[in-house]
Amino acid sequence: MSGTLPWVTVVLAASTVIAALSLLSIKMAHRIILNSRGVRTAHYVAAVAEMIGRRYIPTDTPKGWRTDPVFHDILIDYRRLVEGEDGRFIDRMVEEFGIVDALIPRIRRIFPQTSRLQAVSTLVELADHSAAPFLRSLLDDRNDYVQTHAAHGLARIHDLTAVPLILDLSTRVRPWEAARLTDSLIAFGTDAVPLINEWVADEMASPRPSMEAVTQSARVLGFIGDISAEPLLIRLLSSPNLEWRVAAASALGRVGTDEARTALLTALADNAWEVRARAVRALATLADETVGPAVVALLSDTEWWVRQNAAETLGEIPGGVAHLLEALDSPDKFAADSALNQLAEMRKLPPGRLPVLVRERPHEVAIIIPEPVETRPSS
Amino acid sequence: MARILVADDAATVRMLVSRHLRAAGHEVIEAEDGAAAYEAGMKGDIDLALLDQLMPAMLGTEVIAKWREAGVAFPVLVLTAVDDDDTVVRSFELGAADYVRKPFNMSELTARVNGRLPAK
Repeated sequence: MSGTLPWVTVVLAASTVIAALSLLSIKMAHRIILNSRGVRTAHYVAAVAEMIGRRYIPTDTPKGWRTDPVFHDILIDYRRLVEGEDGRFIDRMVEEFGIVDALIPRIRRIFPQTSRLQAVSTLVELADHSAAPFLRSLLDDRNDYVQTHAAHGLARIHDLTAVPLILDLSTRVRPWEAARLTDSLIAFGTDAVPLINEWVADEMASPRPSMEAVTQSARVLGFIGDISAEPLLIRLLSSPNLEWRVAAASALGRVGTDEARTALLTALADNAWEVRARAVRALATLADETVGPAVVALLSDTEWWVRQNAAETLGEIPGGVAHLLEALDSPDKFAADSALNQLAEMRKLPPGRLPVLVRERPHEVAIIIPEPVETRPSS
Repeated sequence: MARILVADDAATVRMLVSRHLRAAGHEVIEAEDGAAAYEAGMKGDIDLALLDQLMPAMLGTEVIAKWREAGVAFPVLVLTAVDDDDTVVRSFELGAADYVRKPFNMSELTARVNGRLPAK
């Protein structure tokens, strides 16, 4: 037993030395890589600025540039920084350096995965129309990161043929991925709206429509804000599907006209409080003085969130503050409270109300009025 | 020829803008954070400053405020990706001469700089 102890000590000491040397080597290698990256970055930053400034692409640049991720990153930085002629010149640089052609083989290789995903990100930022077929093929990739980035890349180059493909894909993925995919459609802008309208109409008519994809489409139509989406959104607002109605109510507030206002006023009587809450908020952007009474009625809604939204809307629409002031004296405590909160939030509470409020409900006042309130009469 | 301070933590911005301004005949001093920009502006030989808003050490608006407190009055152009209304309004309240959002057009930026330079 005593004879084996020195051997154990020797083995342990040797292992420790080997481990320390390995760590040291890794650290040194890392430092060399970082230094090299820093030098290359500085070099590329200067070289690309010079090329942009001179509008000149030298023919004798090292071949390694076109495959160097550091060079790609610098091009992306510059591409995000400038627009107009400078931006178009960077697009020309990308083309002449053959960067897209260099990225595609890296993306086709499954390993190493990190390098592949980096290449996808770069392609999305720098690709031109010639890469559209390849980007569309990436929508069928197994990796959801690649799919989502491909969708955003297709939006960046405005490949409208991809719109229905992205929507189709959004029916086959998890809800949060569907949201990220459909987000890409916003960048297509109004040109995508007829295609989204058509796709949603077909989906609604299908025997088993995708609940999530249609909901997300309605949300996107709201963000794009094109009036041609209004008829479809009004249809969704009266559909049996709760999520569709909720999404359509919000979206109509962004795109709607008089017809949307009428539909939203009808939706104030929806059985679902979620729809009433969204509809009453959407009316804030579409309202004229005539909608005031319908919104006031919701100050007495059974759901707190609907009352709160109604009060907020009254705070924003023409003549709404007068309705809030009137509601302070409502026999309905819910309505009076909602009006009081909103007026306090807007700093429009009548002066006579504040001392009473402070005396009777100091805790609530502390919540709704952040600044200290002087409760004692001044001498 | 004017002496122009370009303050931005992004090397790409400093390099590109400086190169263009030098080509337009100006002398350029670079700063890579808010504190360095403030110091450079306090030396008293700057004709105009191009300031990023989001910089380490000090925000662009903080730099302008400190310059104004110290009585430094050269024109300042804010060049930033920040486009929220509060920052834009705050910059003008502090006396910024212009507010340019990224991405920007380099020729237009050069023209704005030339247009804001004090006559000599």
